[in-house]
Amino acid sequence: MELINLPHSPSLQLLIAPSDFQRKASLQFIAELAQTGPVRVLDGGNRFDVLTLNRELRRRDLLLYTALERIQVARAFTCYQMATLLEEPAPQGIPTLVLNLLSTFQDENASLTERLRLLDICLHALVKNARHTPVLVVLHPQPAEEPFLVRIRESVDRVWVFEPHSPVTQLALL
Amino acid sequence: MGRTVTSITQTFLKERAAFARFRRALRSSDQQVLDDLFASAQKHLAAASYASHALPFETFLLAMLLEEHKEVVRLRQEITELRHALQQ
Amino acid sequence: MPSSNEIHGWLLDIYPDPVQGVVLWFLDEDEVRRHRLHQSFPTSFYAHGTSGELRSLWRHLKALPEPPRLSRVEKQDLFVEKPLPVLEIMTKTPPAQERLFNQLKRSFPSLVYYNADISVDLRYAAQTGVFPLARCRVLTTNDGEIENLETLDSPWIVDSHEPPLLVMALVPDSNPDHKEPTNLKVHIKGKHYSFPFQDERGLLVKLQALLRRYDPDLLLTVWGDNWLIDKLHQLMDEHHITLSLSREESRGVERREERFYHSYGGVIYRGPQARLFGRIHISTENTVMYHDYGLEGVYEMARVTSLRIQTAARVSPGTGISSMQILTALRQGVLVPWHKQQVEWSKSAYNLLQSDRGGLVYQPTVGLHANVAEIDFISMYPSIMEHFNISPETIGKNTQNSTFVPELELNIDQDHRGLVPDTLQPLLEKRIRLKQELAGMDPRDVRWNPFQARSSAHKWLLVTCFGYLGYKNARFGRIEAHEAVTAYGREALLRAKEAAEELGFQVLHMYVDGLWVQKDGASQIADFQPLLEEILDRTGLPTSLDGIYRWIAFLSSRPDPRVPVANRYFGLFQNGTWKVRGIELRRDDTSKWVKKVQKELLDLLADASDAGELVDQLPRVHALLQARLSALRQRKIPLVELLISQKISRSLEEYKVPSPAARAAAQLAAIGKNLIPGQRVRFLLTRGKPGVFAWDLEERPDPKTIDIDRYAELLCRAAYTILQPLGVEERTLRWWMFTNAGYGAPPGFLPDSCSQKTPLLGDISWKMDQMDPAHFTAHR
Repeated sequence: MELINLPHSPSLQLLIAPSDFQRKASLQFIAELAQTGPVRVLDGGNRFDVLTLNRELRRRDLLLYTALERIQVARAFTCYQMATLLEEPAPQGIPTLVLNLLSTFQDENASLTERLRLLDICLHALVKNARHTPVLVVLHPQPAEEPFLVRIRESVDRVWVFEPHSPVTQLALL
Repeated sequence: MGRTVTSITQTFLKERAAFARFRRALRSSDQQVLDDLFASAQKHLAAASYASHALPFETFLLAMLLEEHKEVVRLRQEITELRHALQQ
Repeated sequence: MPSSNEIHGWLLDIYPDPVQGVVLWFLDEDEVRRHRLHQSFPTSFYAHGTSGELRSLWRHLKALPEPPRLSRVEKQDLFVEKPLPVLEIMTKTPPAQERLFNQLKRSFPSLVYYNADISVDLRYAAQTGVFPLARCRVLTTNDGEIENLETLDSPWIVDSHEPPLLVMALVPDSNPDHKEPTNLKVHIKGKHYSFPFQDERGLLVKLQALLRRYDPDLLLTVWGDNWLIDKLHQLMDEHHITLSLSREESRGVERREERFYHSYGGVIYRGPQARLFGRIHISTENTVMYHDYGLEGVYEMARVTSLRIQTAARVSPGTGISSMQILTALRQGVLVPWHKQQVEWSKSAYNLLQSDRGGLVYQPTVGLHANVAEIDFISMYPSIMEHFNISPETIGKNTQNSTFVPELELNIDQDHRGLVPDTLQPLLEKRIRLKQELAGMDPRDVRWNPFQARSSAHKWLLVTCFGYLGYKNARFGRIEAHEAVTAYGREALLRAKEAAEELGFQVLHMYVDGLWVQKDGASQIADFQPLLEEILDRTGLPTSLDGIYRWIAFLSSRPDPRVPVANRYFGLFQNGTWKVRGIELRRDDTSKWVKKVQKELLDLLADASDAGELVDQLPRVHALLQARLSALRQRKIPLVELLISQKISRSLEEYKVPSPAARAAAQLAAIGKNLIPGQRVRFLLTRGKPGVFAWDLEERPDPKTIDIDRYAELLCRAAYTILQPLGVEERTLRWWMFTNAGYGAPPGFLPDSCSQKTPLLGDISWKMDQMDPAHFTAHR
């Protein structure tokens, strides 16, 4: 699986991919960035896989603990927390990865209106941050009409969508 | 409340599964031995969890070595006792 | 109105009133009169935002037909250093406050609200110190308006005397989910009545006569919340007869609809609720933990949380703890946020690795061990929170006297008492005092049951408060605080282990807040006392000796006997009681029959005076198993004892290969009884396909179709769990159970790690090694 060559200049980009791929791709992206400087990870899905990340770092022959110190992680468990987290100004020039932005927005305990309002706050903050740092938002595939996805797509500069390969026919072993 | 990092049990199972191809290609008698090694590591999951090593497999390897050496010590002791018994 | 009346009595109920403010019902100390009193109760809440936003809000509020009182004030937010400028909005009554807030949260969603969703029982308790069942002295006017209220009581008294509440029980004679009830049984003051539902009018008239005559303080029902109250209302409507269910009859019954809400990826169902006014309604199947601690426990929950009794009965311990924290905040003048605001601080990936852990869970030394002491930290996590002052607002603060949590690289402020430890302290103290009283008490003492019930209520609250500290929606919670608690917990357990080993003990097992230790020659309480003291010394946390086991068996994993399992063991204490974890006896999905036989096996083993004599019991074990199996094969076991109860984890369509529970659920679905994921289904194992027969169908299965072989197999497994630590090999057990083999086969081999050498029966050589164990299964 090739590494996605995501640009490292200030921009707001969206990656839509199924679980395994996005996990691998985002961890590779983080490992890449940790080679040269600090990275910020905002985890909305509570699935930031540190241990697999460590293997990626090790593979790049990095001083493991130094690299780990460069990666700052903050978790949000509710959509309110996600909004608060994003409203904190991102330190200049430190690339940010937002994992599973929408997981916390599935919580139906808050009304749809309320959740859309919070999402707007999140997007506004992301656009602001993207002016001086590369920001990548990673999502699971959603139905195209999903109101959350529509709004996100409208705010980003570029969208990457993972297309699964069509199955290769196995040659029978006689 | 948190619990983002995979639990030590899950981590252990993943690491063991990562060696499935290696295991498969071994002779079945060797497969048994490999299973024993992993079972040894499983006795020390709590300590591995506490260690919170960035690369947990290294901790599991150490645990396997620990159990191996325990066995060596035990066998040495048994041999000493048998020698004594024979000399009587 | 002049002339004050003085009333001495206990607080029964408290609720908001749209005109009078708040209504309180008291039981007079003469135990005859009940008083309905009221008090005006202007209720405030607060809003914070930018000056522009607050100005719009001000204008909006001033323009209302009944404008609330507004003022700009400064109040303390727990997480902010300086007092916060907020707009105080004061309404005339609690219902008015609730209505206004519901409007504002829709029209001004971006403001931050405080003290907006707090029930009147907590607000009133914060102002007056009163709590349900508190003894009070009240001065009132002639029309029952409270001029002054003095609480003469404290929720923290260990030996409180409950007021004598008059309880009327209403019990339908069958579970309405399974069969429509035919009679309503009523019990009051030792008298028992039975009213047939068929005579609807008669039932209403007679029930009303009883309500009028006795005027009970508490209606204790079964299926009240989800069936009976509704049924009674239906009858009332049809026959135009009103029952005085509430003492304040004009208020009728407060109905809350059923709700589904989302939590941690699952759906939780909360059933409908029916609450009364002036009389307490408790519906036992809807009362959390009722079967654990009964009415006494409910009263205690209400006392320590200050929640109205009907609320305390129905809420989870999480809400209980949250209410206690809210009360502390109100009393200290700290703002109570509507939504949780706090977000985790960034930490390096390395720190995440270190801090995101739970308690230490060890793998025990598998096998049978004698004279083992179990030492537990008393309420470890709450004690840690209290001892180290861990609170969402104290963590991360580097002040002059802060302590450092090494694993997390965080400081804890020791200069200011945290909100959470402040809330916990009296509860912890009461729990410890109660446990001490119980330790020295005769179980026949009249205080035994109430004390046990109260202790249980405390336990649930304390167990929950730790989880709550890290809960994503907790108003006063912070995940770093939660992580600090587990860090101290790990440290404490490790220091306890070190203390034990330095004093010459062997540590057989450790589990989060407890350890099992053993030393040659140590078998009495006095032998372990120095260790308890040493642990207290090194950790600052109190421990207690849970008990000394005559012997205990730590079990290994069923699929892989080389692998120990943390939470599967059974042991006999010196006082003759058992402690059993993780085995069939304790599992929800085991049939009654298997549980019974497993318990009988344990009872046989209990007859051995020490571990060395356990093997002597094996001939009796052999005889017992053969007798029980014989009864099974002769179909003498009542079907209801063979019932297996399992949860279905998904909706039926989601099963690729349906589990037995799913197949049984499908049978029920076919007759219109639909189960949702998370619910239990009961069934019997039958021969052939589909292999199960759901219990709640209209008919019962033909007893001849019961799959005897599968039940025998289940029994064999349960027996093996108990016998394996004693050295009985599985194939030996199968010989005993499934062939005509007599007892004389050698038992087998003991695991190496077993510290108790049980003598083997002697070497009888058999042709065992040539026999294939696979031939010996339940099938004949």
